[in-house]
Amino acid sequence: MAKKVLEGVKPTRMELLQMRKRKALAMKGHQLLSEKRDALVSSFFDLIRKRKEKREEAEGIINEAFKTLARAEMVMGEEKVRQMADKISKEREIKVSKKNVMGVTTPQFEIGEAMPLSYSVFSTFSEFDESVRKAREALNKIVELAEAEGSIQMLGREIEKTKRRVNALEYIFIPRLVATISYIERQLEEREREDFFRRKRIKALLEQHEA
Amino acid sequence: MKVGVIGDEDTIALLKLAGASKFASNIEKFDEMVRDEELAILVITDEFAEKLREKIVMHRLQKEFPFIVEIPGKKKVEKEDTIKKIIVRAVGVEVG
Repeated sequence: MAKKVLEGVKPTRMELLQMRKRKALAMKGHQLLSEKRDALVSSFFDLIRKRKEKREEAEGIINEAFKTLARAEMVMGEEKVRQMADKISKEREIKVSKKNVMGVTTPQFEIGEAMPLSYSVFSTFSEFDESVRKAREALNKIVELAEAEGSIQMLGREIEKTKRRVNALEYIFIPRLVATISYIERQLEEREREDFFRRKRIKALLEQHEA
Repeated sequence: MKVGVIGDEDTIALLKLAGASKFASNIEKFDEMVRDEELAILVITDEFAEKLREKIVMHRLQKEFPFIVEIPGKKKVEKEDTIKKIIVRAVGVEVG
């Protein structure tokens, strides 16, 4: 990678001091950000483990719920089950709150309690009750899974962003500052040498003149 | 807030019993559902999610609510694990 010097920089002592300050700041920022990244990644791994568990649980229960639903449909007829579903369906409210994980807001869901079933016992079969119970259980698990996956989504985004910033500092910004600093230093040295040489020369000329 | 579902009829019936609120059985409803501010969670079955792959990925990268969960429907289909993709993007390796 070609080391580029920042544009519009004049090789003066003032600029040099300023560049040194900027470099120190960039290095500090880089360190802080990479610490943040490491911390995020370690809590990310915890979430991944949790999510895997939740997913297996949820998929198992969804499967069971489908089976009990099929059984209910077998004894009652598909039509009747769908009708009952329309009739008794009670929306359940999801309570959403936020949890702060290292400055990233992750979602927390809490599903409202299911209402007791409000249909007459005589018009349905125990298979139907069973499938309602299973379905509710499945939804509970789905909500838990949504919480875990939502957190992964938010944290993953933040990790990507932080990683990009760390890399930009490390591979572009800091090298550029370093190159600028050494450019200014070289220019200043060169000027000093010229100065020194000029003084020598004048001194020699003056001595020649006196003699 | 509420739960929305995009999926086949069986999945809809199941989650209707469970207490979800909004239902759609075609993928055209996706845009409308993700704009619905009432929804906290949008459940999509794998079969439908496969067809909405790109939209889901974009939604997950840019937006928050509703959070999308993909679940196996009654019909089992081969599918990609999109959360795994997010993980790979974030840490650079496959984990979990």
